[in-house]
Amino acid sequence: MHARLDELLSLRDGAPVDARVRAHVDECAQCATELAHTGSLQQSLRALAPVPDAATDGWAEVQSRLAAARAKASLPARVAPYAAAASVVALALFAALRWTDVPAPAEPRSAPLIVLDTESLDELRSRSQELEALLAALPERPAVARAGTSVPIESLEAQVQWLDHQLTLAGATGQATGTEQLWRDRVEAMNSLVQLRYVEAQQVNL
Amino acid sequence: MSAFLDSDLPPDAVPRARAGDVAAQEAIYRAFQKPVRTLARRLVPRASQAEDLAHDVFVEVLQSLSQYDGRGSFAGWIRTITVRKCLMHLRSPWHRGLRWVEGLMPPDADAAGGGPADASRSGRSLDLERALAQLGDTARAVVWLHDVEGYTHAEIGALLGGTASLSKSQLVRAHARLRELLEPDGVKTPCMPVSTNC
Ligand SMILES: [Zn+2]
Repeated sequence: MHARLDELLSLRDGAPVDARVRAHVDECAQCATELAHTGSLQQSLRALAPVPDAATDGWAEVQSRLAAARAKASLPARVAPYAAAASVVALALFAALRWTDVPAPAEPRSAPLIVLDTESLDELRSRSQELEALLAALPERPAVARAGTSVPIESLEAQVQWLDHQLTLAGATGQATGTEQLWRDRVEAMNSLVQLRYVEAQQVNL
Repeated sequence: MSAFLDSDLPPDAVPRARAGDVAAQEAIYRAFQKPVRTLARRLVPRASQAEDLAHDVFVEVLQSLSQYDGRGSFAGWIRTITVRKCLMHLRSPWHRGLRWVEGLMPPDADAAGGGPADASRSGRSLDLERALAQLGDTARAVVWLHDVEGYTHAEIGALLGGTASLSKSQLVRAHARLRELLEPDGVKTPCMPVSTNC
């Protein structure tokens, strides 16, 4: 009987292997070829070139994030409840979506969540953009939507529109006060919207 | 071999960076940006996410310099932070949700090997990068950490919150899948026994 792949990998790595397996591989041309393949694949992986240089210099971005982290460390405690509440939900979702490559069974699953533990304006904008991208990546809404998700989805879409209007006004008047809260509200509304659309898409696919 | 071994850094850069010297901090970034970005990209194939994680790695490295006690290599310390951050990302509900959505969509140009052609990468390398990107997150992490970065199965098992057996089984899965992807029409050579026990 030929050696199994796990045995060949152990042989390749010099790990302990049953003496009978070793003796077989020494004498079997097919197993010897397979063993050489595992080594050759490893060499190919090691020979992969490093990623090309990024289009933009990342050092400026790192400095900007360091500055944001320093600013965050000096923020008042009023933002803590957001982070705490979001973390609880994230932990619950994490428990639901276990660490495994096996596809989850076809039952309603939790939607992706962006945790609001980042507080800078830039990060809120970036989170908002990520949610926009995720929303855009979701399939088209079904022609006949279920009332359970349809009504809140439309209400959230209206809320996002209203917040966009407020942000446009704030931008036009150069008004900085309250902008961060508007962005935070927008991320929260978008977050809920993505989750509902996600549930709706799963219902369609069931 | 791990690109982290090739990084060179002025010997006084770490203490200077720890004392707040911005030039020394930048030197650390310049010395390690390529291995960190490369490792992040191998573990997280979506380029935009890998680049984002690489930035986060340097933020953590520069914020935590006081915790580096100098006992292990500095490169190894940065590599550990990179691996931990990438694995945390792969375990996040956000990433898992995105993977679910991607399953419904056509292939994305942002994924490994799907972007503009890079003259430095040969056809074989691109095939291998694409194949890596198609592995499950765990299998991809295990094959890279074990076969390239030189982590032991016990170390990888611990990083994944499991055992060495988990790492071994995922390595087998990764190799089998990579062979399927790289040699879709590959027919195994017939058994050609040198002796009669085959
Ligand atoms: Zn054999």
